[in-house]
Amino acid sequence: MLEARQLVVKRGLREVLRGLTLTLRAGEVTVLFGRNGAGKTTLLRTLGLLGWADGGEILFRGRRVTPEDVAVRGHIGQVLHESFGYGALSALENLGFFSRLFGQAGEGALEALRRVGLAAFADEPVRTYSEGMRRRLDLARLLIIDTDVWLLDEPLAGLDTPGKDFAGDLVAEARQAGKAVLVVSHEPLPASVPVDHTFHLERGHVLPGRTGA
Amino acid sequence: MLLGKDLAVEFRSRETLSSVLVLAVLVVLVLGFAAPSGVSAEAAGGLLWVALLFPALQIQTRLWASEADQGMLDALMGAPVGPAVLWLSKFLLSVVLTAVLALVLTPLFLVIIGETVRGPLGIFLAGMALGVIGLGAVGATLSLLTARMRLREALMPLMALPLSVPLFLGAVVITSGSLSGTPHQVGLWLLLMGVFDVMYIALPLLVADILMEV
Repeated sequence: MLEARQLVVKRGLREVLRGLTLTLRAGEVTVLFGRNGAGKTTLLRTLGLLGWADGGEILFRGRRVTPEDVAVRGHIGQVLHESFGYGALSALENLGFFSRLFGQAGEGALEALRRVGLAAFADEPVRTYSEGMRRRLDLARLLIIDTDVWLLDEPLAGLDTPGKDFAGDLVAEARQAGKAVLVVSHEPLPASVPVDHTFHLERGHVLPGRTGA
Repeated sequence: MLLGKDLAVEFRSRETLSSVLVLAVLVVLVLGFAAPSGVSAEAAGGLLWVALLFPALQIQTRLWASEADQGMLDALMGAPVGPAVLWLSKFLLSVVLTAVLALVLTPLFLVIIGETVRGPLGIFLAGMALGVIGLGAVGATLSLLTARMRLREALMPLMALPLSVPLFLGAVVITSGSLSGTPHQVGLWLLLMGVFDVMYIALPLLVADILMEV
């Protein structure tokens, strides 16, 4: 579904990603571990088309993605390292805006908030939310935007135990629905998450089979 | 949709326009009281644009900074919307907010210094409109360039003021001429301002993808 081939990303003179190759397939969950500064977030940002690589290429459904292919972004749902949302708007308004931004009807926002446990706070301004509530809002955003790929950067950060279990269930559901999922995490995922591939990011390359940060 | 969201955020938070309007009114009052009685119409045009320029820059500094502060720049870049559309929405927001500022300040300023538009009103309004549009375009671009910078509040005016000199000159000449009733070389200055506006709208639209990544 989404593939990185020989990806090179530099920060100044330092190569953060050095010819990295990774394939995310439909209906599979890939988990990427790595130490702080290993380049996990850089990889996710590059795969999510938030920044462009200095070398190599990204392919979506076998076709090379160029900066002009803005439509491809509509197939990728992302939870970034930092939660985001307009503080002055309510959760419901934020979800409605993002849904329309992705060319969708904006329906199902309240249902998504109910699923992530935020229905009671749907009309509250997001600036009043705690870190965990913001993370739940990030997950709700994934639910209302119909995408083929999920890129999740520390999706469990800030969540309480039920929240972590719920996030795990969501990943399992996405896998069942045929989405390609990449999870970057410092901590072990809940047992409910079926993991198809585990990699370790080290010195700009992905190494297979090792787990734990 | 993007402009609607921006206006909703601004209306709810009132973080930009309300504080800037207070500052702008204070600037106008200070200028009005500081200016000697019987200040010439030529000088009044310049004073009006000085009163408009600094609050307008404050508005524009916040255009993209508020997105960056809430982590929304990445969120917008991850959406299937072209960078040019994103820039255009901020440009429109900038023009709307600056126009509100001009609509409030201009009559207030003219009343305080006891001036009226003696020349053709159409020329006066055209000068104001081209000035507001040009400031909006410069602001939307430079605000994006500095949004992620720590010293953006200082950098933004430092870059915007020199770039806006041709626009500012044109706006002052047109406004002063309109107030005195004897506008000179109106066509030339309006043309210069129009070219400035087109250039500062077209260029960011062409390189919006690069601007978004800076």
